[in-house]
Amino acid sequence: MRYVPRFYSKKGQKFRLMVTGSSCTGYQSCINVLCEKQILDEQLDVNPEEAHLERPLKIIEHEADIQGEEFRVALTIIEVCGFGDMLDRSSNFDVVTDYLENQLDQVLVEESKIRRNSKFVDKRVDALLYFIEPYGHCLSEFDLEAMRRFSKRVNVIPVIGFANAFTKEELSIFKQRIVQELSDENIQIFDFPYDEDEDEDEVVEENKRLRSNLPFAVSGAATGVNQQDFDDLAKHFPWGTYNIEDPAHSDFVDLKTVLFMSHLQHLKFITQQYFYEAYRTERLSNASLSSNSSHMLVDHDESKQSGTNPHEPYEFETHEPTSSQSSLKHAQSKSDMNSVSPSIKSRQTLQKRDSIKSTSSKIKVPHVETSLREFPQRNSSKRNAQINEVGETKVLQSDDVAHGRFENVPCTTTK
Amino acid sequence: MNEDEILSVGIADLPNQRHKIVSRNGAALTLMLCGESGLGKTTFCNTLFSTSIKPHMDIETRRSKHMEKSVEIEITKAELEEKNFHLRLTMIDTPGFGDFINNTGCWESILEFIEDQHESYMRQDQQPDRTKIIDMRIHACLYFLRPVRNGLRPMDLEAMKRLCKRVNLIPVIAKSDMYTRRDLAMYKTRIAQVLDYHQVNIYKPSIDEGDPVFQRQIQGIISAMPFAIVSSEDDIRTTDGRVVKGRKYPWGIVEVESEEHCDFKQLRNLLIRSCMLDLIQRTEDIIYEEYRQEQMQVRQYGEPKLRTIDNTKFKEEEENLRRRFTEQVRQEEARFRQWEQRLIAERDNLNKDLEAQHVQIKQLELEIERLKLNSSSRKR
Repeated sequence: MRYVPRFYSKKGQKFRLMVTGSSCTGYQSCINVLCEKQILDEQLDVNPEEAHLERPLKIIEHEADIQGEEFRVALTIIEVCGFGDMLDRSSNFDVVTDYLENQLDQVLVEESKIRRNSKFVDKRVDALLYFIEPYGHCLSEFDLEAMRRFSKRVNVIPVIGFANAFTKEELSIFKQRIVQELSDENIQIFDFPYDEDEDEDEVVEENKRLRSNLPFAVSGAATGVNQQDFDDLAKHFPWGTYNIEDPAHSDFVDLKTVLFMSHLQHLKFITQQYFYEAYRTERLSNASLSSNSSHMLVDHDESKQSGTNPHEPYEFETHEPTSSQSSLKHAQSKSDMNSVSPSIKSRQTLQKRDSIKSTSSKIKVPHVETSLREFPQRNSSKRNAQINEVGETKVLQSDDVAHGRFENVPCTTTK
Repeated sequence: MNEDEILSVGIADLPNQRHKIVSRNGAALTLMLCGESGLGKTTFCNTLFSTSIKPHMDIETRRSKHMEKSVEIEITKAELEEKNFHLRLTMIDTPGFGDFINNTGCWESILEFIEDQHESYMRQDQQPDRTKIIDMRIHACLYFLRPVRNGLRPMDLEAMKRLCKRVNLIPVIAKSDMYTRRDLAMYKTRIAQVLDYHQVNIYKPSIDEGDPVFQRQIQGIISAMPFAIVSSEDDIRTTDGRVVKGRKYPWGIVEVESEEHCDFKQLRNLLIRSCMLDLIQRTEDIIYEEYRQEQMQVRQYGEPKLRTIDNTKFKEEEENLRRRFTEQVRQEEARFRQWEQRLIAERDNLNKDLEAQHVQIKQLELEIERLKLNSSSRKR
């Protein structure tokens, strides 16, 4: 018995699925068959004149309403068009990871707002179908690197495209190799996690079976199939007919069940609880490392790329620093925005002020007292002149004078 | 009868003499298999001659090949015999082609290799002793394609443009049992269109031979281009009891030798039965001559070829060596400087000692003077 949770809603559950794969994998046809709808554009009529031009990477969102016997899903397919097709593919990873992080960022920012937008649309990607080319005896360098990066931000489900290219033995060897390589490189894909103690037996059984069948081998329909008519999905060859829905031929039925019925909630749960939380922790701890932890995130709806430096840090005003320590901290936080050296300088000035404290208590200069109350600025220059007499080095810093805070320090001592 | 005897001088027997010479010498064929890993090049090579020529790469070698930075050239030699005729076969494989994350310029080393063979033959031809020439000029290059919707990928197109000038290029659709008949037909027309438009001259045998049987063969070959092939080394028993080379799927069996399933037979005809001599002659007479002409217009007789393409691996090694050299030179210089300083210090010390001694001498002299004076004054 298959474990199928019964969640019904009028509009269908929301599910965002990202699809990456080179054009040799036939992923467009696969997705169209999966959804029983013509979603992705298969016929790319490129003229011979343009055959030598490389198409840049594009991320396209398609929305569709999928309905089956036991499920209803409001599906959004995010297609990465041209992934892995170019000569120089090293920048392809960044495009996808940037997109993923962007969606996580938007939710993070929205959460941190004081007044949240009620119409906010959660655009986090719930799963990524990574189509593997049916050639090769193992995963290519490109595939490994891509899955390594993506698995940190999203549930990666590797899928073998064009499953009809393999005989039974070849397919099982290929699958084993892929799983072995992924575990050797410590890449965590979505492998149907289960808990032997907590879950029911049939759930555990089902998950075990699915895990042993990873990665799924699927295929699309033949071209020329009537676009509206998705009944006959078989591929006809001179030597036989290949049927996608036959479990002996491909894992199509399993994939469909996993994505739309049995594990949809699970995937969403992992995205929200694990990937989003991990990202949030990473971002916030980065933010606190670069500046004081008292700084809060500011919402930047307009900015696309979120940097680690907030634009306008909140300042904690210490009107009367009772100890030099707090003013030291403040000086540091204030000057942190510019560079390190002013803060060091200010620390030095404060230390020297402390020593001035002790020396000025010995030297009794009455007229300093009175002029302090009236003309603070002139005072500081006079004080500095006295410092010169005493033999201390000249310490005047322009921003220290402007603060007016350090005036208080000699005041307390002379009192 | 008398007339016939008089007229037949024996000129018509020349082909027989030629036949004897050729069948005694045997022939040499050099093929290059170009394409990404996993497209079935090794299997094809073993299926073509119905014997295992190249071993398949095991998985550890494959993984380590991914770490390499450049395309390699792998040469396998074999000697085949059929009905007392010997064929010296050289198969050249290109592991690493198109397998990296950044594939720009992956055809450079292959092109360089091909040109090097022409170059080497040219140099050997210019030597006084021409009997022992090693000839590895490539007679045909099979380019294993991966078709996409619109025909060819930009990388394949670029590579084929470069290669077609220097070698007989034969594009081949690999693993063609993945595609339905209709898809294959579409891909073939698309690929032919693209190649035509971009003026990529693939190898086409000429049909103007007299023999009609031969003509029909050639026509069959040309109509099947670009070839869609399936290769297999395994023997499968079909449902009607035959044992064929093929691939066994749960939904059917693909036969390699069947003309309805794939174009393997046509390709084999082209490579061996019908057009092998044509390939060899075209390489020697047309392609090599073109190369020779080009080079002789630019260079003088006996001048070595300029290296325009740098192999990245060698560049790295060169950099490393240069760095090490400068390091060592720097170390040596530092050592010399230290030594020099020590010598100077020694010299200063010795000078100081000398000075001290001088001072002592002076003092002693003064003493002597004084004593002299004293003694002279005492005498007085």
